[in-house]
Amino acid sequence: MTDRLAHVTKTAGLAALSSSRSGRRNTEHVFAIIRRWFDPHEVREVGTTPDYRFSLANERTFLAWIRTGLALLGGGLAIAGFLPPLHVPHLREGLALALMALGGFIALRAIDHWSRCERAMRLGEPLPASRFPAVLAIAVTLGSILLLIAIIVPGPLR
Amino acid sequence: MTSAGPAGARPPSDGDPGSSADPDSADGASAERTRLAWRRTVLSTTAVALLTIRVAVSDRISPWTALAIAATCLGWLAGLWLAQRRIHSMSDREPRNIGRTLPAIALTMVGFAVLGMALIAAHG
Repeated sequence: MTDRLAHVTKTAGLAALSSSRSGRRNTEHVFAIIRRWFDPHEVREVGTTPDYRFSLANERTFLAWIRTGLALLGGGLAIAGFLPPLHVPHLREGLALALMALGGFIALRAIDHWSRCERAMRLGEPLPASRFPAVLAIAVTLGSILLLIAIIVPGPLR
Repeated sequence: MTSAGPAGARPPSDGDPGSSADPDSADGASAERTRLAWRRTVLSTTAVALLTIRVAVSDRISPWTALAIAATCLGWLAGLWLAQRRIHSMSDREPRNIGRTLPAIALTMVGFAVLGMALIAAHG
């Protein structure tokens, strides 16, 4: 049982992309993960209840991620609403859409991470490790560099 | 109804049990930090809602504009209501009754993202 749970947790978020597993098991995993987001009993009744302050800290982490996502949403909206069109056609709209898609994804990833942390605390397991902060940092850095290049060398790209 | 969990709950390790309302105790600080985190989140949501309305009215006004503004107000009110409810429950001794508040918040944010993307795609 614990092995299965660890497996489900490990493949969370990546289940749909994993090519080494059969499609049916992937679908089951995805549904199990999504059910955990919305079913309070699933997260509330396994294992033992930790000190409620740990749960509050987990909740604050979730909210911090939500605000990160909101900042990206706001950035995308500000680009679409206030920035004049860039030299590269549709770069402005593309950038705004990319930022907002990333913001929406961060919200979903936040609830997934929250439920996995909550579950790990209840089961006394180590908190789930995540590469997402590093991936996000690299993506934002690369995006900034590409945008800088597009702004500094407008001529050839026009 | 999610009641306080089964008996494996460890009591707070410092402070007496009745001290959770005291903001200087560790318990009170924890609840206070969470309450403020919710307030900041509401503030961010407000900024995003205003920006969404700004983008919605920057184009030709159409029935879709009205629909977008209505959806934005609805989403903002949903976020505000969820946050207020959670902030009120912070004054409980052990604020555990979180239920589906967090998934609802996440879905509201996804709704804002989808709405904003639709507005930008419609303009472009």
